[in-house]
Amino acid sequence: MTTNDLIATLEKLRSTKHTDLDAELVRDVVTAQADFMANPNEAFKRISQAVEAHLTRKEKP
Amino acid sequence: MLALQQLQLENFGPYKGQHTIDFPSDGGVVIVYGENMRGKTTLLNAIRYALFGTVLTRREARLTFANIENWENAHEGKHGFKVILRFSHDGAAYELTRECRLRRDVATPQSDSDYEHHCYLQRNGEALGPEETKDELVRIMPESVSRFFLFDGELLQQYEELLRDESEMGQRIKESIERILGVPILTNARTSVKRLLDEAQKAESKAAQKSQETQELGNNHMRLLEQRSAHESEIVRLSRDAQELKTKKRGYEEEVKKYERLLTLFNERERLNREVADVERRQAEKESRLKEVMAGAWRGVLGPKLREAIATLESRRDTLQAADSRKAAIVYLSELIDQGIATGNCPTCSEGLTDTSRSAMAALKDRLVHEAQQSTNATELAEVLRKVSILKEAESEFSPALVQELTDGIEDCRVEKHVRTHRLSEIEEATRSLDESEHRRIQADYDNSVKEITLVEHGIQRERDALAKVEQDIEKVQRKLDQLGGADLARDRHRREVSKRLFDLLNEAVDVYRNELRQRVERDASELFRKLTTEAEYKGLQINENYGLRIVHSDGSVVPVRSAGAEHIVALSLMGALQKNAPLQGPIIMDSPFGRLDDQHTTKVVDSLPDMAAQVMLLVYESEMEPRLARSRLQGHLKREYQIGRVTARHSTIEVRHE
Repeated sequence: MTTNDLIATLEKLRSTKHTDLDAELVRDVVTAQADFMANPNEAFKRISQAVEAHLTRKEKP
Repeated sequence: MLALQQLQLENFGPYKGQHTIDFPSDGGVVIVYGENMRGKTTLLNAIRYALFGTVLTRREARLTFANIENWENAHEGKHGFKVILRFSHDGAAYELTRECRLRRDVATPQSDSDYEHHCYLQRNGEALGPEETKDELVRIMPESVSRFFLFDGELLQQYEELLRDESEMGQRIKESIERILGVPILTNARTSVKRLLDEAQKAESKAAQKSQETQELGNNHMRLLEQRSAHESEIVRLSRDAQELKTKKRGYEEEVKKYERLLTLFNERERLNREVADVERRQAEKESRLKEVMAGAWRGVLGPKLREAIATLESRRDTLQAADSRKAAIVYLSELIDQGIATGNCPTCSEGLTDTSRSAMAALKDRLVHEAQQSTNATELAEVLRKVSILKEAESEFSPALVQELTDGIEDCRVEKHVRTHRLSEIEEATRSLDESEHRRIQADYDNSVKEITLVEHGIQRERDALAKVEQDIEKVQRKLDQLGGADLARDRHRREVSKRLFDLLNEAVDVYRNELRQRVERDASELFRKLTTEAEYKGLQINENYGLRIVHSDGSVVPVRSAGAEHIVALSLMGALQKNAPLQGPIIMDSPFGRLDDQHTTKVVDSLPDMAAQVMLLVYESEMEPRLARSRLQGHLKREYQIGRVTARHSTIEVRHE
């Protein structure tokens, strides 16, 4: 199983039961976590940035 | 993917001086042959030491540096050791050096603190700093999943623990399995998103507190968030405590096991002491009784005389009693004669008596009365009866059989006591230099740790219940805030909502992903199992919640009991399935993997090795897997063979094996 398999599992779940969530955001969150497994603080920072970027994208007209 | 290139040892374990094992760059199988006690496990330990800085025994106790260094060198006053591991990972070349040297101010090491320990990591020729080294090594090979890469065949039976829900070892292996399969990516992401959610909620509270309209709700919200945070911190603290206690308990378990035989001896000694006291009591009772009996022993000496006297007296008694009976009959007859003479009629048939008859009856009566007077001696009879009674009593109070029984019983007690005191002296000898109180303390510590774990786990449950209640309250306040909050709260609310949705998705995904993994592991382990097993009626494996695997028969039933060999095959199937499904790929190093397998299973496992991992290193003894078999089965996959040679019991060498 790779990170892509993990993302695929999440996408399947998102597209069926959590459609109000953005697919790109979910992918960014999982990728950030997978890339920084040995550094939880950096992983949190990247996830936080992904959420902020998502909110900003949504706020733009 | 992690691929080993070279392992270099210096004065590590039995390997005195410098020794090298090269791993071909195109993967395949490398076999190291060595008989027992030559240093096969040491090679596994050397890789473990290089990657993690520690060496563990089979019971998971940490080996001291003094136990790792070459003993022959140490005997010569030269201490310290070094391991260099060269490998590649995701396209980069690494050189990892771990070295242990004796401190300059120490001549003879007493403990690990007498050594200096160094670790250096180079990536593509560039040295990394200590923190980066640590992070990089965790990224390349986390210790928590090392059991799936560096494994000891003797410990494969541990995987059976996965079938026991309550097993602590099973729980630890399950966590390791989930780590290697990547579940922590999801669980850690969930933790990060939860932190974001908490922060968003706090930001919302603060924003609400600033507005007059929502101030009270904001205060209430903040108070509840603080309560939740306190409960969560307490759960984390208690969980950590529980973990520490479980670690301690495992340590105590090891100690308890170590001293189990001694404790058995101590318990046996206690039991024997109790038994000796009991035997002594019984012996004293018997001796006392014997003393009493022996006080009448003179009766025993006079026994035959007594019996003779009793017989004479009894004979006399019988004569006297017969005479007594005759006298009673005479009295009765005399009365009848008197009646006949007086009435002139026969007292029996009432016929009239003649004078002649009456005279004859009177003469008969006189003779009978005379006879009765002659034989009457009531005083003598009473005297005889008294004497018989006294003599019989004297005879009955002394029984040689009783004396014999008591003497035998006392002898038995002496033998019993001797056997027990002899065993006691053996136990005394075996435990002379040991501190019994220390061992009792360890047992008590173990018992206490079990109790403490139960208490802490109850505490965690209480906190969880309280947390659930606070969460409900937070939700209520949150709903009110959502109704009242203005545009100034919008950004925080959106952040909170997105974080919440993400959290819910990740939370659900953890279970979904786990199920997917279980299905994949079951499928791949079954496939490998069918290749490895020699039993055609077994159709595959069935996985449980903890990744424990049961053998399934072709009729659909689960095989309830399995042999050590079958256990081994199931564990190897799990290993293969995990390797196939893990995001982290690396070499498999197996120490004595065929010890429990018959020839057919060994052949099948050898055939499957190239499919299990790109790089495999086998540490075996020749009778476990014959070199001829390995060559014929592996053919081109077998890249190199090494032989561990013996110089002395404390000095081994590694040589390339040529046939």
